[in-house]
Amino acid sequence: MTLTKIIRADRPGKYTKIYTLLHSRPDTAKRLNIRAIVQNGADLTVTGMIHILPTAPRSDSFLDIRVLILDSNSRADVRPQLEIETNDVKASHAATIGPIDPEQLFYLQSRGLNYAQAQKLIVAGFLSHA
Amino acid sequence: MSRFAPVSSPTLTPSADYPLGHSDSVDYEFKSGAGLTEHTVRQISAFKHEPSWMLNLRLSALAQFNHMPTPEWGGDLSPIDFAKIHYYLKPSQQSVGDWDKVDSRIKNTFDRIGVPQAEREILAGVKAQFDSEVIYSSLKSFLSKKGVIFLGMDEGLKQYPDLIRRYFGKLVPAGDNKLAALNTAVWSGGSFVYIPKNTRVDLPLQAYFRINSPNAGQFERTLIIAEEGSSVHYVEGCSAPAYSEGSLHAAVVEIFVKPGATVQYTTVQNWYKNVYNLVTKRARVEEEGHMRWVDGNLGSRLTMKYPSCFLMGRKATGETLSLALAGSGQHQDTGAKMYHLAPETSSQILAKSVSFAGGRTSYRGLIQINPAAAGSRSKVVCDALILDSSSRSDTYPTNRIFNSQSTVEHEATVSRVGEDQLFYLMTRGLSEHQSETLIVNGFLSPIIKKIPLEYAVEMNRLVDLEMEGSVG
Repeated sequence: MTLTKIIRADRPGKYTKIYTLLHSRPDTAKRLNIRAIVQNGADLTVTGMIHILPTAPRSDSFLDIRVLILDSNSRADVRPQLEIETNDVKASHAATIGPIDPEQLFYLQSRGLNYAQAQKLIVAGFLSHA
Repeated sequence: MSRFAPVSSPTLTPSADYPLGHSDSVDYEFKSGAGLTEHTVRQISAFKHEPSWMLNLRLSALAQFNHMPTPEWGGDLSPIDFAKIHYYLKPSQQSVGDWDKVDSRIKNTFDRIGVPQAEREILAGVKAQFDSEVIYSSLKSFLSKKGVIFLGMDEGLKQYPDLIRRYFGKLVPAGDNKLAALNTAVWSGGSFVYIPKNTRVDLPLQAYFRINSPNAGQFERTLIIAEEGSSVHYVEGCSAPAYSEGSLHAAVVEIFVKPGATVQYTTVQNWYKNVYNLVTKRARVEEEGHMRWVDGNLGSRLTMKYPSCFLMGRKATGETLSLALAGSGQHQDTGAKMYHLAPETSSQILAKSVSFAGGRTSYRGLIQINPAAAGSRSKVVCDALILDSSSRSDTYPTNRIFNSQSTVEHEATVSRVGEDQLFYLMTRGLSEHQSETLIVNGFLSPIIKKIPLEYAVEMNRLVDLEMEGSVG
């Protein structure tokens, strides 16, 4: 089962998102992709938990959180968590938080887009590749 | 459980021949009564002939300790009875510079842990902390010539009170947490290290810590000051013999890394399985300074320790390599914290843990990148190995990013020893235990490589010893 969550935190204020992948039965496979952008003074907290109970051997779980911070008055607090209570499982997570790669922006601007257009294009691509 | 060999007991029971599981009888010249009162604190301070500012610091810390609740966010601390602990013990032996004068029973204890006599020649100075006092210290003369100070904390306070007053408790104030308050109130022993400007200490400075009495609390306090452009590697090893009642180890370590200085602090901790190991370790890193924590946690019932770096100056770097091993009845709640407070700072955390026979390992970490820290980078990698179905592993990282010009990467993986890996090694003639130990040692080797050789050897032996009787 693959799930995708898109978070657009683009207004001032606090955003709190909590996701849990709970494995309570054997042989379950789950994957969660979270893509978030923060801008315009948003303050985003994302917690993503993979919880595998002792009753869920051979579980396979993966959580991927990627956050783009688009301006300097926005902030992100990212908490990928694991609680693994048995051994015959695969469980991992990855998280990245950062700005848009300046080289990507530069490339698009060299192709005639202005900054806002370039940013919009990159953000659209980022959110659709989840 | 075993898949290729006869099933053996999955539980780890401390065997009679466990080399650290013994307790020697030693005479104590002074032993404070159990429990903590203002009287105890005054007694400790008077006993050490401390300046009055230190006594006042201790007393105010005691008041803070009494008012603070026991932290509940991590491991289970409820079994600790603060009223039953002896807060100060002084062995009848005075501090000596000559190994031959050390009490033979104390020597015997060190032989059993395996501090080789010959290390004296190689290592710059051996500080052996037997209970609450440094009983043995030697310092090679060339270090003194360089102006390097390497003393027990009590001795340091006598000889350099002004220097210590400037730094003591500035990085870990008593009010920081309940255990730091406790340590500040009753601290005893530990090391004081001062490295003058542009001085490089090539040999590791080494301290060896032990607890040897039922209910003996160990509250050592270490202060390291590395002046501009200097470098030093400090090694702390811990090991304690067996006894029945729960014991507490609450240390505080403060490290000041001045501009361009490099400090590595290596810990190999192997407390016995009833010790609560609750330690606050912090480093302040200035411009272009570099701090590296290498933290190996093998023993104890519960360890809660998160070495921190405050990256205060431009281009400061912090690095933590954390290794944890949790067997039956153990909980290793360890990790690292990195505070990025200046531009272009970078940090890296590599945490590896192994849990087996019902043990639990937890990684708990924090990356905070403040608004002023533009252009900072951080990378965190946590790998956990779970050897059997009754063991557990957790990961609780927090990444706070407060500016838009910094990047943080975090990844964590939980895995087990592969059947195919075990099978392959066993077809090559290794036993199941040997195969598993080999795989675990290979898993841990990126961290063990950063430890001085003699410790790395000891570490591999300890891993082997700990895993005896547990089959993945």
